[in-house]
Amino acid sequence: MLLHLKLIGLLLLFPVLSFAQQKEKFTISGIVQEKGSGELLPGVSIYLPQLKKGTTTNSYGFYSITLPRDTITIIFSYIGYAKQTKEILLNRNYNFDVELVHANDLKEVVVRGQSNTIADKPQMSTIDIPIKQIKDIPALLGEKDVFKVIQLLPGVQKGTEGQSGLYVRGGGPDQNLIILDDAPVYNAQHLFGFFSVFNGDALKSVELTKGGFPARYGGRLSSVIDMQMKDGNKQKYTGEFGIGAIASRGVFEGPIKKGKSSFLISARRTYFDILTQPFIFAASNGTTRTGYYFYDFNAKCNFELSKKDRLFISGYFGKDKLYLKFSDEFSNGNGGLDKTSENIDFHWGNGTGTVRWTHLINPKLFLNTSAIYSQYQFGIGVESKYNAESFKLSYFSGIYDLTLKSTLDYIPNPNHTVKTGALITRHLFTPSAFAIKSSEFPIDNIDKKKNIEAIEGGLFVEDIWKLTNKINLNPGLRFTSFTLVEGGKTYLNAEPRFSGNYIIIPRLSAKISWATMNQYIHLLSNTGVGLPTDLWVPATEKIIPQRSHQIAAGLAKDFYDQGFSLSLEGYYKALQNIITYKDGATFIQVADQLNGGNAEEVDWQNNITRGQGKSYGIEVFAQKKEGKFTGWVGYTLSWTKVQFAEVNFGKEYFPRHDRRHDISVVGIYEIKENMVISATWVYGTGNAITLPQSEFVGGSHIPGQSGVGSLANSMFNGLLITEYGGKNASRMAPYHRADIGFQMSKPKKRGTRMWELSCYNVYNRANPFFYYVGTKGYKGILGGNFSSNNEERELKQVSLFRIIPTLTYSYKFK
Amino acid sequence: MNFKIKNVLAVMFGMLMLSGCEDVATNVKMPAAEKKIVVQCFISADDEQINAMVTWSKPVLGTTVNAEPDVIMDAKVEIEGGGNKATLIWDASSKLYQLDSSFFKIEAGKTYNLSVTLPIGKNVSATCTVPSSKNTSLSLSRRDTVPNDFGGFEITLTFNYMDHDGLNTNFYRLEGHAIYSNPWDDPYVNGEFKKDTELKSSNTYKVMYYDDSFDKPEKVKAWIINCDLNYFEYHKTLQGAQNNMGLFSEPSIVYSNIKGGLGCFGAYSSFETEVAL
Repeated sequence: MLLHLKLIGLLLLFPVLSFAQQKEKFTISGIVQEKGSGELLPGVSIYLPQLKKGTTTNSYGFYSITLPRDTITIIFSYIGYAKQTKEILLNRNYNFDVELVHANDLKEVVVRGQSNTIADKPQMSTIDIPIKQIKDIPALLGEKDVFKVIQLLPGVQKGTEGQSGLYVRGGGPDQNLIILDDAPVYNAQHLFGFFSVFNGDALKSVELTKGGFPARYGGRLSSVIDMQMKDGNKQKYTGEFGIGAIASRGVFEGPIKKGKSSFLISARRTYFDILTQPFIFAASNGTTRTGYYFYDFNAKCNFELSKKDRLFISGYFGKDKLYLKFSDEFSNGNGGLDKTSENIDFHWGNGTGTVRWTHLINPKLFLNTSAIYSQYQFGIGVESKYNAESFKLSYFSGIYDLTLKSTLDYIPNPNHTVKTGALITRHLFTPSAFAIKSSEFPIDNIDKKKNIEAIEGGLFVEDIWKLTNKINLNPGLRFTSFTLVEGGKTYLNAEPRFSGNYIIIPRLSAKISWATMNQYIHLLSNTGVGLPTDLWVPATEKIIPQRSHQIAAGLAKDFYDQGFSLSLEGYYKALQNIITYKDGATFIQVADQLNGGNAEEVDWQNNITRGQGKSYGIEVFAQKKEGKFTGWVGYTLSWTKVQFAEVNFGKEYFPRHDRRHDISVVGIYEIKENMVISATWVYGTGNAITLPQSEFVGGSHIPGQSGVGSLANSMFNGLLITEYGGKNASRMAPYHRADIGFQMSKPKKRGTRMWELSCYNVYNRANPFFYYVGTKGYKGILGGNFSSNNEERELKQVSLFRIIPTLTYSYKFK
Repeated sequence: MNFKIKNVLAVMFGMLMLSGCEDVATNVKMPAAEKKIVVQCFISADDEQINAMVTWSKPVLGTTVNAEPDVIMDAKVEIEGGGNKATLIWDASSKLYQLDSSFFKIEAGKTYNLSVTLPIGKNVSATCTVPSSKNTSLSLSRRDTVPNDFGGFEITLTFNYMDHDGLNTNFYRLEGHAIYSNPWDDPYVNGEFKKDTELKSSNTYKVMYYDDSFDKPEKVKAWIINCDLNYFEYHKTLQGAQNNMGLFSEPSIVYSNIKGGLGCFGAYSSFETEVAL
């Protein structure tokens, strides 16, 4: 192990050592931004054709190239933007900022970029999702959803019908590091998981990494979804609003000081509570108000403090609320009035805040320092009143993070981009707080809250290293630590990372990657459908951190002239120390025990069982990012298996999200400049589920009664036991669905208006949401249609979303 | 244009009405649901009789609900172990297969095999090993008595026990029953299952009663049952199935060690103690 660390250290120091030996070199550096808005552009390809070398801009649009004195040609290219070629006599250090023109502002839309290629990059298992495509793909109820688009990528499985949870290469939804402007987001879901919390209007870029994780990322096992919010237009005020079937949204951006600073705000809110509440209120004779809504709000400001310093302040806040308010009064028979009221609400939401300062120390050194806040809260409130008597119950769980992070990009020459950094996070978990206040029985009053505080640290270094013209490497090393403040238990781990490619022939390369990841927080869920009741709990002395090792290998091919790429990847991932509830344990039991009852009560950690898992498979991904016709075809063949000591009697089983085959086809065609038609089709093997097979009377031994008494008793009073044929031994019917969308935009005096007609599940497929055993010939589980005596039973399937057409209107100001 | 949009909206509304529905499930892959032989038999060196319950299971789908066991009366039920072999006899009154311990002695530490054969040729079998010793460490102590909101009292008892051989191979079932002076009252039952690796030195047990001689519990009886893995997992999962929260939790799968069938053949040794209230 020590020898390995030394070797990795030497590898990482190589660029520094090699740079010391070189002379008479100059650096050209600067930022790349969008012409007009001043939006910084991350991931722009900067290519030097004479040297056949290149680099890309970092998350802040910054680039730096150091070369010997010469006349050089530099090509800046970025998908959706016009390519720019510059010739420079490099005889001194240059600061050279570049403005790229967006395709929408060009008369001829023929934009090809080197950045579209995948074969040249050492990184694998990474997919950039253009925001434009997210906006063009038809969506459920017209709500454009980043996560629903990510679900269409190979290696990513969806959970239940309509849900936005992501299962990446066999991992659970808690194993995804979802970051918005550097801030981690917990439970990134609205409406019990049917929509993700990210509003596409406010996003600049989305990148999914499924394996071969660069060392700059850590803390989760299965994927990184890195999202950046738009900075806001630095030149003029502009905006957009949209009216959809369930929600309206708006975005407004503009300069604070023209050319120097800008802001962006975006908001979205559902309105079916506003529409339905008057009817419910009237139907209940003015006694009841009930509804559900969610909203989210994004804001960002950025300031160019000097040529070398920029400040970014961004935040997100979103909330879901389900409520019922009832109040009534009636005659008590004594000539007076009795008053009664009931208030119930469920609410949950995320909030993040990031303050980032970027500083150019010198043309080769770029510093980014951030202070990040992130929180997730879930609460239930119940308040009942009857005249002077009152009863109040509140339940609450939450997680609060405060992080300080600093990263340094060092670009000594075109062969090396070294990234290093450190971060420290203070987590405050409130897995469960419980309060009961009763005016009638004050003795029952409870006010319990248990906080768990922990400090997580990380230190990383990585190098994107062009070893030869045929070999690119990305070695890295990350050290992580996790300390529980109470008790002082500390975990320390080293996470070596490696990815690399070998260019077999131009535009065809073989890739390999390996990554070890540790995760110090766990999500406890026994519903499998992403309810907000899922609890975030830290690693403790008993519950040790989750760990994964993943190896992947594959081929990547670019068909540059057609703007088309094809990749084939195989992976094997081993998961260790993953947790789940023991058979029979529930959220309520654990939540109750998390309150920290007296020492003699059962420890909540005893309701959790530890285990392991493995996932392996192959993924094929053919993507066309450019031209009038864009889209992709993805296919995944995979197996996921888990094994827990105290689930399924210790035997291995397929988790619910295991799918053998998963296919997605996405096509977007620009008929004319103002007309876009799009379609998607998905197919997936049915989820693994546990379904009843047979029944028998469960005889048991009753203490104090010898065998005959016990069994004779069971014969008459025994419990009817259901046999399931094994854990998740059955498979749901396969899932498939097609969606289509049609967008038509028209320039108007002050902007562009757009109508979008989309249709979800166009061939009205009844995909299963869940199954239950009901009575033959009857319908409706909510109508009490559970099987009863003397009536034959059959398996019923409940489907949620059949064909759903949606019309959406939006207007974008000039 | 307005007319067109109106038409589009009308069509959309009609289509929305089609959304969300229930159907008979099709294309679901399930293991074949067939009628299986269910055997339940728990043996102990202290029991005067061996009893076995032999019934049929019934496929859930395509049948009606019926909690009456479908008893198998014509089975050949044989027990073998410790160099002996015997056949259990069908008893019509208890609907069990029985054998007096004077004909076949169950001994601590020995392994037994139970086989059930039907005239139609179907056969199931299972094996279990009787715990080699008994845990007699259990004692009860009264901890506190506090008034409750209903005009009665809440008594807290502590069960004190320990793992008796330190071998980390024992499985325990702990159970307490509050026995009432009124014979019509059912005992108040509380119990739990522990592996010795998760055993604590004591366990708190709460008994609640009204301050009313009619309802006051007379005593609390408690048992510590040292059992084999089969007995332990079967009873523990049976309890899980009883407490299952339905839609909001995963189905509880009940353990079985019957090869080719369902149910449990398990073994135990039991120790009982009591405290008067």
